Amino acid sequence: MDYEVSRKVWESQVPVQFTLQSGGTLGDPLPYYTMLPRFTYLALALPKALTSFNRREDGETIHVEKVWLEANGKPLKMYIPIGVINDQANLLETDSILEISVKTSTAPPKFQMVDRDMMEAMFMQNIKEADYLKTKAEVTQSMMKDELPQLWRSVVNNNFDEFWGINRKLMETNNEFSHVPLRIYYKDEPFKQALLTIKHTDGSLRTIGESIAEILRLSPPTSSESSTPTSESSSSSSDATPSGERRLISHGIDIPSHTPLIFAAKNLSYPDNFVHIVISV
Amino acid sequence: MSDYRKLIIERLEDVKTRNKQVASVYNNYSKLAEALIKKQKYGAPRSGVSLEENEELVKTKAEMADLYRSKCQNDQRLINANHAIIEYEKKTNALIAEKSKLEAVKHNLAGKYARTEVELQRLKSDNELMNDERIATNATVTMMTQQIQEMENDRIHFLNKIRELNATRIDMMNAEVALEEQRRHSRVQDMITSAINDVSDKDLKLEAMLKKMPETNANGDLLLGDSLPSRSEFNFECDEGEVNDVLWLDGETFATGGSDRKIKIWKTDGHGGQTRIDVLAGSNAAFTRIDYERDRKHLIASSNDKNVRLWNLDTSRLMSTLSGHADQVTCVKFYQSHSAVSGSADRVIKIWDLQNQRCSRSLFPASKILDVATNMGGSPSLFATGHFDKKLRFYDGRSSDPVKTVEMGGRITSLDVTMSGCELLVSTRDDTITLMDLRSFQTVHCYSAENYRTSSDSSRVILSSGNEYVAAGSSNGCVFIWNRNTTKLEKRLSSSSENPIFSLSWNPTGYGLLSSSKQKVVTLWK
Repeated sequence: MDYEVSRKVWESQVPVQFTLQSGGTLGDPLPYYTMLPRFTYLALALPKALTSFNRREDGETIHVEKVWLEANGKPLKMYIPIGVINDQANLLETDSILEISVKTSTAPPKFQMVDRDMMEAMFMQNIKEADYLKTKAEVTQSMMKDELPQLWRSVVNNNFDEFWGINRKLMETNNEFSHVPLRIYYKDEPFKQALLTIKHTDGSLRTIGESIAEILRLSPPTSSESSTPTSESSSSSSDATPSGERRLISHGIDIPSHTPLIFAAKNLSYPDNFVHIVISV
Repeated sequence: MSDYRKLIIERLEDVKTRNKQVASVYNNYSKLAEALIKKQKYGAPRSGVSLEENEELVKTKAEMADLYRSKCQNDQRLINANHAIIEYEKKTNALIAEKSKLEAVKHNLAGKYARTEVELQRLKSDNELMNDERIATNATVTMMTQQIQEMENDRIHFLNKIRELNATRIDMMNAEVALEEQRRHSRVQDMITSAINDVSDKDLKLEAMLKKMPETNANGDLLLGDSLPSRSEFNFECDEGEVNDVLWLDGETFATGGSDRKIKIWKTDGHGGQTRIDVLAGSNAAFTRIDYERDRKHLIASSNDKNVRLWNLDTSRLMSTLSGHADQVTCVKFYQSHSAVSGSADRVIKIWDLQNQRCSRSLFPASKILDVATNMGGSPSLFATGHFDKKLRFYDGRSSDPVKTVEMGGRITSLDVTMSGCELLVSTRDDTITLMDLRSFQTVHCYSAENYRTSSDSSRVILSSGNEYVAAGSSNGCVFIWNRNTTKLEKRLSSSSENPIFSLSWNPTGYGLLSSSKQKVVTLWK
């Protein structure tokens, strides 16, 4: 573990503005402004915003199960860390505020409200999936019963030391990672995930740029047809060309494409042990 | 190799720097929001400083007034509370005292309870003991009830047996009476027969006797019966010393016994003389009493050698010697059919079975026996004994205790029974002679005289053959004769000597009286 990188990654924050759009007769209350850690989830932040909105005495009480969230005109996926949501929303600008609209109208079909308990279950499932990719789930299976819930509690309570007291087992295994848990967010499609080893067949370390090129090459046929010539031309070009043409955004920064995949897996992953990378074309 | 790391760190720092301004704005915004919320929650805004101060001052004064009022109330409450505390302390002390009292009472009750428990335990054990005793008593009662039942059965059985024995006794008494009557009848027949046989020989003697007899009645007829003696026919010395007893055996034969330890048989010849015809020997000491049974011709005599002897006069042979007494035998009499009664100085009365020659019973009157009398008319088994202790005792031969005891005036020296067996003549050493009715044990007559003195403890008194006269010898050698019925002294016979007279015997024919003396002299009075 690289303490400096991990610490800075943990302490990264996102400025968020919650704006209630209920269309009440007395007008909407003022927006709720707060700084949220990148690794947290909307399921944890939304109750605080609603508490602020319900503090007005002249409005109706708004219940969490009757609202849905929207950003940039699209319903939000509440199970994705806020940092990733912010990276997707600010592809063109690097320092803008994440604006989330809290709506009380009927939710669109694609929106799925995720409450705290559901989020906890999904979080622990992600950790197990990541560990399966790395060690065939040996570490999570040998963990004590209370350690996974403790990881979740440290995320909720923003406790770095407590989190890494247990997460160290997941990152510093006896053997090398079999595969690297990596998720690619490309355009408006669901994230992409593939089996990626740490090293090439010749023993050299695989880089993030190579991994992403490989994942994009394995895209579905429809999108691959449209993107194949570009990827192939890009990969066949010199090293300077790909970094200039494609930005690999994670934790709000551009990750150098020559970063080893193993380094990213150990130091740039989110608390659910996945490396979430948003690609800006 | 590490250029990507530097690059990442740099870029993270850049993002942090750019967010710094926004973060500060956001934090301040949050603080302001919180402050606003607090203000809305806790108080109204103030308008002016001076106005506020004045209001505060007024408020403070009002608060002070309230505080003073509260203080007064609190002081009053404190005083009341103190009073209440004092009162409660008093109550508490009273309760404590009462508690102590109740504790003492409780202690007493506990002690009493303990004592009651002990007593209850004791009573319980006593009750168990009484129950056991009751059970035992019930068992005893049951057993004794059974015993009573058995004894009742035994009693009924014995009553039946007594009734049977009484019937048997009555039968035996009737038989005895019949036998006695038959015996007397035989004796009378024998006498008549012998008189008829001897009438020719005795005609002359009878005439001589009639000439000598002075008495006739008014008509001049000869009076047969007891002849009152008036003179001495003859006297003779027959022993070496005292002649203790003399007895007519029949009309002309008599026996004497005394200190010469011999029984001599004499025969009178009608001419004023006597002849010794036999001598019975065997004793080692003086003879005391002689008795004779005419039917069997048995003569029995008691002796000072502690024995009683029986002779057969037909054969002049000693038949048996009856020993058992521990001291001198003072008297002996034939008793019932085959028995004899003897009295001794050892204070024992013995009844002898003459057939088996043994003592069949011993009686213990605790006093020396001086004379014995049998052939009581009321009961064949009844006999009387005269004692040194002045008591006359009547015995039934079947029991050990006297059936009657009569106190006399002096030692009883001699007894004689009338022919009818209904009266008893008793001589005592107070110089009186008493005739007693045997049916009522009352005195019928009493005989005494001016110069009459009982000669010894064994001096003899007799009735005449016809029971018309009572004769006794005196210590001065005289013979006194009283009329039995009138108690009048009929005759006083004096002898030449002054020796005491020990024994008398009246002839069965009524004519002739023998007296024996202390000095070897026997006298025949006619």
